[in-house]
Amino acid sequence: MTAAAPASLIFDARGVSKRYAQGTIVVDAVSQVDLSIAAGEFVVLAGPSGSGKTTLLNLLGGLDRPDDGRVSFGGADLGASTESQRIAMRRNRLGFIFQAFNLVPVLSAYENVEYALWLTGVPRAERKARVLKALADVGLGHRATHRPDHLSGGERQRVALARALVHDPIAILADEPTASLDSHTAADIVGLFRDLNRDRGTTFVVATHDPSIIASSPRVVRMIDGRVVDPATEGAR
Amino acid sequence: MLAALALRNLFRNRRRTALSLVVVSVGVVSLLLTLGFIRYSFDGLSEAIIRGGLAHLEVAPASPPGSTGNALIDRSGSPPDFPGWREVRERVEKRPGVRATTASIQMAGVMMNGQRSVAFAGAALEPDRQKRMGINLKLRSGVDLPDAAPSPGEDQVLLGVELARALAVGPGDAVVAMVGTADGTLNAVDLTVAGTFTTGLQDLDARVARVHLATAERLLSTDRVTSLLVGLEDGADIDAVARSIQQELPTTGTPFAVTDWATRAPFYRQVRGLYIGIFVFLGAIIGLLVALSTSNTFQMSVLERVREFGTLLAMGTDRLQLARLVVMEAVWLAIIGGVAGSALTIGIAAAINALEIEMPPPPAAVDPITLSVMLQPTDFLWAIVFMTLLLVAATAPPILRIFRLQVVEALGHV
Repeated sequence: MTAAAPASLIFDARGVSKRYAQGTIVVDAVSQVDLSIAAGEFVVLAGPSGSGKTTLLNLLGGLDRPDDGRVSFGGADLGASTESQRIAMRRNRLGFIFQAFNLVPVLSAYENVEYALWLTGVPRAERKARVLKALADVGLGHRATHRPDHLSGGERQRVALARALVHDPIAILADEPTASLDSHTAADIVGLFRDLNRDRGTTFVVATHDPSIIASSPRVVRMIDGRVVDPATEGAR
Repeated sequence: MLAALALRNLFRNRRRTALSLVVVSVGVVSLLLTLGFIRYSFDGLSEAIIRGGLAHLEVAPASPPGSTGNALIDRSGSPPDFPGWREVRERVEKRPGVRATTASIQMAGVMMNGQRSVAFAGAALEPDRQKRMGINLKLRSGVDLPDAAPSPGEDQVLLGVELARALAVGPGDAVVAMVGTADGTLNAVDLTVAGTFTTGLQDLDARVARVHLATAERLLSTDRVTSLLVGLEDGADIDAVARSIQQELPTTGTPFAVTDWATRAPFYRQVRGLYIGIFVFLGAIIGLLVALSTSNTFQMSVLERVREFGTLLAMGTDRLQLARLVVMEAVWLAIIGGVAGSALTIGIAAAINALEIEMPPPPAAVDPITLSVMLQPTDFLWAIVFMTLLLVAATAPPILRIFRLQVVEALGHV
């Protein structure tokens, strides 16, 4: 891994492309994207389905490697990093939120959140305090012992948010976090995102096509067919 | 945390887990019952061999170079020089764990009834000492040989049931035994049949005869003996006592060998080898069935959780941790199934032993055997360990799948 970017730049994508083969056809999921995201930003990747939002999010989070170009996280080139380095990065410095919540069904809300801390090697006694605080921060302190199938969609996404933030990541990447929620719950969740962004300074990158989120976000990066099509929004706050 | 998660994962699909537990339990029951029956058979056979006349240990002059290794052939007719055997016996009997000893002469010759002559293989012992050693012949008719040395003309013999049948004699009848003596001549002695006995093996019963040591000395015109047979206390460590006796024997002059019963019982070794072979074969089949069945379960279980594994990988779980999770699930399954199978085995074994089911005699044997199961506490432990290793091995295909999993594809898996 190499370090070269300014200290305040969290994500930096330069000339990034990613192609997938669908049978005999090669699809450009992301094509020649340039994107910089500074620490503490709240960025929305907006666009219709198939526009490349999720692929770009995966590339930024080190879940996938670009075919062309360079993606850096905190100045480190993800393309040049090993799998164990990317695992350590995701474990310690990133949080992920998914459309379908992706909680472990056999674990309680508490345990789902605790898992993220267990991964980072935090001792059990310290874990307890931090997990309870994270659940309290998302308004779920009273539902800690419940399993996901006994929680509503909104509550599950709150657990997912607590899981993503419990280890104090630098950035949280959320892929369509409100797509499975009703508009009222979605607004609550987005409100939580914004509060955390404002209060903790955690960087949020949210891939969505939810108009209400897009409308209320300080920075929107619009994508169509794998390209950033609204450069005017890039860098605006 | 992984152990707790693994245990809970087992109960995601209760029906499938229950089926796997049944497979593991039945595998454990099958293994343990087979092992228990084989141990019972070994135990019964070894007791029959030891109590039937072979005794736990034999002390004898070491076989000279060129010997056949067959005691009867090497020693019959002309017992080797066993200098000071009475003194050796005194020293052996003082060793801890030794119950008693008897001098023994092995011989071979012809048994006649005036009309027929049948080859026999004889053994001469001291009946009183033999009884103290716990050697008890299975008499089928008549009485055992008297303890006291018979006077000339009052010699008696016990015949194997088939040998007696071949000679058409029974208790009280007279026979003549003829053997080659130590000086190379032939000698014959009149004997009265005291009774008939069985060794448990039909072929052996057609050749075997027992006489008092004094009778054999008269028959062979010698005061030499072939060996000393040593009977041990119950539970004595045969190898330890053998080493102790070996240390007690004179180190100068004739070298002595102390041999355990198993070394002198090729039949037992063959049976043991056969049974162990059968057990290994059965174990391999049971193991294969359990491994195939559970491997399929593990594969299904991983396949159903591809997206969950993708999420865990995205969060920073490394693949080795996921592999450990699957292995722990296998370990839990093996432990739970193993414990259930062990409990079942205890019940089934108790029922089998209580029912005393009689089975036909094994090939070449005379008496029917009782179906019985003899298990030791360590057997249960080994069965569970075996199942654990088997199930862990069965996780190899799903673990390979985990190592090939692409995070992005896994997250999109439906």
